[in-house]
Amino acid sequence: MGSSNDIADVVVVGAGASGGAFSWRLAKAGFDVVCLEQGGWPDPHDYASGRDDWELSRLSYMSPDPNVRGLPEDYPVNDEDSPIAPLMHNAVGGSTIHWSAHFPRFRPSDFRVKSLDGVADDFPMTYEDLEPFFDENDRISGVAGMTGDPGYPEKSERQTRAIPLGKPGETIARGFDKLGWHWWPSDSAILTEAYDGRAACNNCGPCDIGCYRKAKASTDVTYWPKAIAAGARLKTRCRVSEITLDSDGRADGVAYYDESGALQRQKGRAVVVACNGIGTPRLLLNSASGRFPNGLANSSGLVGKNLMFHPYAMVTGVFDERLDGYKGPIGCSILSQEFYETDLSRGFVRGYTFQIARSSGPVNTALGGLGGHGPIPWGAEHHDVMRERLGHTLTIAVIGEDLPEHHNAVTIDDELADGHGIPAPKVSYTMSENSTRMMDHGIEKSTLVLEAAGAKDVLVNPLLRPAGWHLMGTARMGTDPATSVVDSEGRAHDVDNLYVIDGSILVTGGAVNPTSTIQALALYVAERFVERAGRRGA
Amino acid sequence: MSAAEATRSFSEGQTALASEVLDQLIPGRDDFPGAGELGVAQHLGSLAASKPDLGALLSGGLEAIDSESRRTHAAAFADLGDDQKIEVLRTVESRSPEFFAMLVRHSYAGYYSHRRVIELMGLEARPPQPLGFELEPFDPITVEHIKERGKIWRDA
Repeated sequence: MGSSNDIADVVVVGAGASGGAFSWRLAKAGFDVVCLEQGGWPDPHDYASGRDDWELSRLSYMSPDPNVRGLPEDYPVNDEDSPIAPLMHNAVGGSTIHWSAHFPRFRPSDFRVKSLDGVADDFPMTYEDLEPFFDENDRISGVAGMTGDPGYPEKSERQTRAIPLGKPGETIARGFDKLGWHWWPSDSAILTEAYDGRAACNNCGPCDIGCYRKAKASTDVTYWPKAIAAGARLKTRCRVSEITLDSDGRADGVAYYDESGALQRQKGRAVVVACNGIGTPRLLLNSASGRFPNGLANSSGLVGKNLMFHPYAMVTGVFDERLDGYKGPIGCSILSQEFYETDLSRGFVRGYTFQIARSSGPVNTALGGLGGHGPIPWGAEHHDVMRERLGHTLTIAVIGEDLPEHHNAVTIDDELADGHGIPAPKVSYTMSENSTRMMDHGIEKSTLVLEAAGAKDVLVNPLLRPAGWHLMGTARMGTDPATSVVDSEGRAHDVDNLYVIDGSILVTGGAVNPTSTIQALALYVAERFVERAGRRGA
Repeated sequence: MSAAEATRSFSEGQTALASEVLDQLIPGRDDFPGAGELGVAQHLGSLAASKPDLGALLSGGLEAIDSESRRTHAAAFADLGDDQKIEVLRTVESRSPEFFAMLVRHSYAGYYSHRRVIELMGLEARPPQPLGFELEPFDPITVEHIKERGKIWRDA
């Protein structure tokens, strides 16, 4: 193993949503930050959206599923015991590269589900505690949206005006209005006007294969240039295999494989894990030692447990009129939170969001559209069905709050390994009765709103398999070391200079896309870190 | 990958059979060519060359189609009538769902990423970038009535 006398103040593992935010804040405060990322730097002008075969990239190297991509920087995930396939991306920017950038915050009640509804646990902080960090994250990212949403406490001014609704958004908004239900233009981490040196979105459509114009706030174009300017050192194509400990059982750095495949050490005074809700428990469990035989920071036995996805039911309306949903950001237009807060008369606790998605190109349409409805029929009726659907659909994604359950877990697979021989994760997940009832309710209400909007046909996918975008809960925060992995400041209960800052630390998952909240939490943890060290950033 | 490399993964016979099958999956209609006629077999051959596992699945499946055709009709697939071809394909679809799903997936991908087909569907045959698309900006007036409804979030 190569050795080095380079001792960083902080070693961050993972350059995605949370790693980027955290590294920027600490570098700005004067800390020597080294971040190790197993992927490389993406080149936005190399994204497939600038090429004729752009839709084919989703089936191969730009699939959100690492098992489909199978690139050298990816690690496989055994997902045979899960009806939801975990999705992620490995590059500077992490999964924000393929993310649709739908950017709602958790609501106040999401931080207090135990107190309000008697389920799961509360977060060790409130919405109000996080609000300044939500605002700071919005300012760095650049958020398109509009204040005044009755679904939230009043927010600070959005950076750019809301995303254009396009015909899909306008059409479904009429449906919501007919029923008297809430809707609002989605907060979207996509610029509609030039901001902070980045260009405005030109409505090209497929945000999921990377943003050519840097209008989408993937952290390779937001936090990382700022972090590097502030002195952070980012080492790409470096895959961490283990967190190493000193003789006192404190973290003293990491072991990693560099681009040449050589095993190296990076020493640090603190280690910060930002590898997502699957990669983080994988690393902690793979860092088992004589002192920590069940995995690092795992005296609670909760590393890898309580995995939460958001189950997605997909309900697609087929309309007579052309909606041209391939124009505009694929996953962003409006949302509805009519059924967000608990109402036990519905037959379930907690609630869900309707996220309105547009549609995409002909390949995606032929293969079942954004709703994953399965390929359109082959044979004699093929052209008729294709003609009915292409450019004539919009999809409601029902995003349900998935409460933590101990048996939903990330473990280490007995056989599977990545290209460096590092054991790979296995995901075991079953959807709860509460979530099933919630999805059924969401499907029924989605159908109503689509019909109110004039849909002539409604297609239902009760559980989208490639929907594991949100990986949460597998190293959760809390004040009690027996029931949580990290404390209220993101620090492992068992190792006082080891931190976790990604979606793993979420106590519950809310019913919205979590990136805004994950990044706000990363900034919150960074602020506490800076305060503890007695330093202040400019 | 060049066309020559692509065809190396499928024999001439496999390419001909794949084309016959493709014309059943996506038949020609009006101005739209059948998928076989359009040359989507080349796309499949290219994939088979670049991904050995997929290539083996496709080759095995094509062989199953040929065998089923000869077993039930004592004739090559190409010599069957349309109804017989569909019957054979339905049988293979039910017996080898993994192969058939992969065949359909990549056949559709090859067909609908072809410039000629995209133009026939009335779309611009160009990638989304760098031109993007024009959309009307969001009009804040459209949500005034929703604001008036008042708070719907819960105090915590």
